[in-house]
Amino acid sequence: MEAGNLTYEIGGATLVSEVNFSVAQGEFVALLGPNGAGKSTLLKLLCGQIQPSEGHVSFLGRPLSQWAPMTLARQRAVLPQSSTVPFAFTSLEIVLLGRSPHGDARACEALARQVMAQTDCGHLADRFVPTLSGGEMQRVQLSRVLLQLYHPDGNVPRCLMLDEPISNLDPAHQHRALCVAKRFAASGAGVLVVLHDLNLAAQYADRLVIMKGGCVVAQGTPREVVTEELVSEIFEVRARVIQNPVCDEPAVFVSVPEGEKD
Amino acid sequence: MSSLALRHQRPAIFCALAVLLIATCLVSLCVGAVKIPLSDVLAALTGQRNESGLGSILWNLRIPRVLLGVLVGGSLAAAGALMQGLFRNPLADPALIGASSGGALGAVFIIVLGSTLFPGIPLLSDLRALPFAAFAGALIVTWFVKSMAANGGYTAIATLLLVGVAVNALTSAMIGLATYLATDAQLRTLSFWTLGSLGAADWQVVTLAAPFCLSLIILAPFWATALNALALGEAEAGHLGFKVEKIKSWLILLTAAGVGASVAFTGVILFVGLVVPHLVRTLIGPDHRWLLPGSALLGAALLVASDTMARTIVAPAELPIGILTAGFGAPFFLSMLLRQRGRALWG
Repeated sequence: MEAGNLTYEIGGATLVSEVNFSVAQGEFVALLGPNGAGKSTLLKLLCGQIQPSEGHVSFLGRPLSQWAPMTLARQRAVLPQSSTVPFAFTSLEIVLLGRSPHGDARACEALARQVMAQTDCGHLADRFVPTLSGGEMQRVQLSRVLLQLYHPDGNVPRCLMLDEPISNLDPAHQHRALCVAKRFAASGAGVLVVLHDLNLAAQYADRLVIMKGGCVVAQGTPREVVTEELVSEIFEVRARVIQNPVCDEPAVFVSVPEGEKD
Repeated sequence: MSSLALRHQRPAIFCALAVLLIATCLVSLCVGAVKIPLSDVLAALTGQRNESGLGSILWNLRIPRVLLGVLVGGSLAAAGALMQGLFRNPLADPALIGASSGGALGAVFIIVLGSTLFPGIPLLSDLRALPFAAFAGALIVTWFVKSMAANGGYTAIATLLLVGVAVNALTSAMIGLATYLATDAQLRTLSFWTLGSLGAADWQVVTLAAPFCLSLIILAPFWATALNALALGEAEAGHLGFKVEKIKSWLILLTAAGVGASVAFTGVILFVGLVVPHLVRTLIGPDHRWLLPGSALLGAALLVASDTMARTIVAPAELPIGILTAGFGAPFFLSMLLRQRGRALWG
């Protein structure tokens, strides 16, 4: 997945400005930034949901527009921020919808239950989705996109894009979900996740990309990006960085700047 | 909420619905102002032509009427299920959102204004032009509703119903205007648009309605997987590889065809498209591969049954069928509204 010089303007406002971006196979990239930085807009541009005013997006070297939608869906899955499902499908039926680009949903029930067990929603398989909590639904949806990209032969290049997939999850499930995504990247797929938590991003991602005001303002390994200078400047906070005792990556603790305290 | 145990019985329930439809049709062929014994009905259906008056009643009146009921009931229910999937809202109904009225508007236009405004063009006042005009009317309204849909494809029920209110008002006004211009014969035709009736059924009407209604009933299930994906959201369906805009356009065309032709010959019949898919969903779940044909079966059975009641309760006179479907459907709709009140219904 590769994007060059991406710009998106709407109603005179520039939401994304001249962004160059790429996710390699096997790479776990976290996209971060303050609210309104243009993360979700960039993700929508990258997945082709909206068209850039300028620039181009390509997947496996071919422009997005040249992909047949069904072929693309077999190799690239996108999970937008949660939306409600208006009908009483069961969780398992929702997860199996992930197989619709492959047309083999009927043969994949056992596989679907396996994927749901990985994201810890196996016990929800027979529940109706309107009765699920926000966090439960997020795990079901994550299982759906994982199942969408399942290939028995793991060598097919694939890309998974997740927009704030853990926003409603408790800490245990956040880590579990990111572990699953990380393992998926390790199996050779590109993974792009929009996150808010710098420490979680530092713990799991190979590369952090930080946006602000529609531009990429910093990117690199966790050690390069999670520094006191960069974090305090970008997020306008006071930041202290220490080493995360569980994973040797940097961890950041923040407080509001001196002048804004009560 | 539908029960999971029932969902595993889908094929059995599906067969039960088919049996129900056949039984309803047979009963409807037997009863009426003149009672015809089931044996005679079966004999006539199996090709043993009976030259008595009963055979003539059967072939010229009852069979076309039952067939029209099947076509219209099946279309309205399938259209309801389809619209609910398309607008991602379980309360969408062809009549409530104004698609039926749009169809009626098109038909009224042809019946009265067509011959008044364009007397030189015989085609416009022809019965054969009716389903096309109604199709066009229903299409315009449904398309309008689609373009009103909020970002992400979720259409708030308030929007749907308000469009319905506006189109219904316009239709009543047009029908009111038309009554001034109409001749006596046209007036009688007009009156049934407001209440709905299968009274106009004959073989010509059945053959005119069939291509429109059948194209909806038969073709809609081909988009069932896409409709299932649409339940996730329009963006989500797009990421699953479906060409959402193209699919929506096709589905709106199909809906308008079925609803338009139904309205053209039977008037606006309320609530079939709302109640039936809801019942079928509680029976066999929201999977459109089952829901669409299941709704068509139950809708056909329900409409044939309602029509049988409509023409027997006060026989030899007839009640407009809309009185029955609205009598059952309106309380049902209100109870659904009550139940959904807490769930961001108006959002």
